[in-house]
Amino acid sequence: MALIWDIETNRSMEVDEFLGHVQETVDLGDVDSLASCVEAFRALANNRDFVLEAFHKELKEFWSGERRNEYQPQSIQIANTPDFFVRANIWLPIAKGARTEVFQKRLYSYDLPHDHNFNFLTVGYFGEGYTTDIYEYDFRQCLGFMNETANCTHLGRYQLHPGRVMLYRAGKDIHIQYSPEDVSLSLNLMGRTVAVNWDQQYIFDVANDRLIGGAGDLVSNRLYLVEAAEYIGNEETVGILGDLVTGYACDKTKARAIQSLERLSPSEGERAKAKVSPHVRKLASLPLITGNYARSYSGA
Amino acid sequence: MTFFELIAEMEARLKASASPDAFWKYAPELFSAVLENGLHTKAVNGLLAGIRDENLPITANHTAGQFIALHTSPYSSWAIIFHKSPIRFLYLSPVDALQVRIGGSELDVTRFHCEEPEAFDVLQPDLELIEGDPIPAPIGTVFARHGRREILDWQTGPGSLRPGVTLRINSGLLADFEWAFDRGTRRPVGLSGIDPVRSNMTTIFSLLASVGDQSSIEHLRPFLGSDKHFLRWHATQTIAAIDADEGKACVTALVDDPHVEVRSAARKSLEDLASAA
Repeated sequence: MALIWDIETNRSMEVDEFLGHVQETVDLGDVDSLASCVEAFRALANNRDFVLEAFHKELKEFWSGERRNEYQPQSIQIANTPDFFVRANIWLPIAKGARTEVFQKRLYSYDLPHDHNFNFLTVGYFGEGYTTDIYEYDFRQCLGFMNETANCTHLGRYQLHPGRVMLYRAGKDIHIQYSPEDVSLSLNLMGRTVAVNWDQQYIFDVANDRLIGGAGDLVSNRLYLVEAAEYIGNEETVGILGDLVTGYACDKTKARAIQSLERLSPSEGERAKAKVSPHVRKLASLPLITGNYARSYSGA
Repeated sequence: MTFFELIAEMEARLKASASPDAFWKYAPELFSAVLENGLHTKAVNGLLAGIRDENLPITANHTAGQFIALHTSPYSSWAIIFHKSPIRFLYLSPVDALQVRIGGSELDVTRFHCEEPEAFDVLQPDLELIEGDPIPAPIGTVFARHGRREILDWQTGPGSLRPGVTLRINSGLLADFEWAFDRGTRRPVGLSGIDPVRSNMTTIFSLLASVGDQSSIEHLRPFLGSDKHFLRWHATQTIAAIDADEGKACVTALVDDPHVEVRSAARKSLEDLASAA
């Protein structure tokens, strides 16, 4: 399951020192290598200055018009390198019964079982921290269609309290974050891996052990665009979709392109199907997951 | 001309015009030209070709749910929208808009209208929506919506498995808040800021209030002079959470605030402080 450490230490680390340490010693695509920098990450979380300074800088730059945070509403980037980045996430408690409760929960991904297509470390920094239910599954055993059985196993509920470090493994760990009792903040160390372009992230219905949506990741978004083409496409679209089927490096994209072709031009769809592997043909026969479940918000 | 060249031309006209009706003067003609020439489809084809040729990453800037964003600027935004399930509330969004069905399942449109709010940043609980009859939206028929007083509610027929698809152009923002109306009572139930960056500032304020570090106050002070009333008020509350004396001085300064709700909240806070003392 996701790895958890409760390390008692007074050691504190500066941001630059931490970044240098990660740059020199850590392969963020490798779980064991990422786990090797847990103590340094924990020491970074003992540094009580840089996060506040980052938020002050955010306010200053907003006010001066220098920059606008283009990241998610609750996140700011602390450090950014070509290989990885560190960000701070604010977790606000959500008032129960408020008109915007459902919207707010979707915005913060609360109550939403999801996996990740990258490994990352997170540490509680401020506040009580969110609680999270953790499950395990195997991304490689799923094809990625609506209501597919996920075979996920519940492994317990944990709290990301200050000082606790957790490592989430790509394509293995599913978690559900719940609104914290008070304003909380965590730090994340996340790698930039090419896998995010090819491995999809999902939203799960854990009660029924099913895949039920895309997570707005690059793959889910790409599939959504290809899906959209079937409603508005023209002859040029047919040509491009045909090119994706024959030349693109992602089987799910090929399969979704075949499905759109079958709507736009059944004969081209048939021709395209004849050119692909049995695996892609199988994918093309399934209701593939696309898009961003959390943002497909109906307010219901 | 391409989709983006046409938009650039329209936006140049909008920028140059001081007329509040500039959108209605320039947008309909351009919208028709886009539709007649299928330029929105060419724009989507451009994204698909980007995937094919350059492995273009499709990010949240392109799609974040049931729409594809084709263009966004302070002057106009263009999106292809996929209508599936009805939304819970009706939203009076302060943007003028043109919208047309371009594919997918059949759609019905219901037009709601109300009196123009006196100000979008002060909710008027008595303002009631008047509901029109639902009418079919054939492909190619353009529906116009005045952002200060109308809502268009697009719905697929019962049992539709496929979404209905529309193309929409929005004008720039006419106000900073949108109102949510309850479908049953047709009365407003809340307002929300529609500039996400400014709203995000209040999330940071909440954190700073909880941390309670004195050094935050100097970074919050500029927001006391913000042109957005909710930022003035949140900054004041945050300073008060960090330093009660500083906060009281800030609240006192707001009793003559131009915004009625800020004035009212400031006076109530001072009364509460006086009675607590």
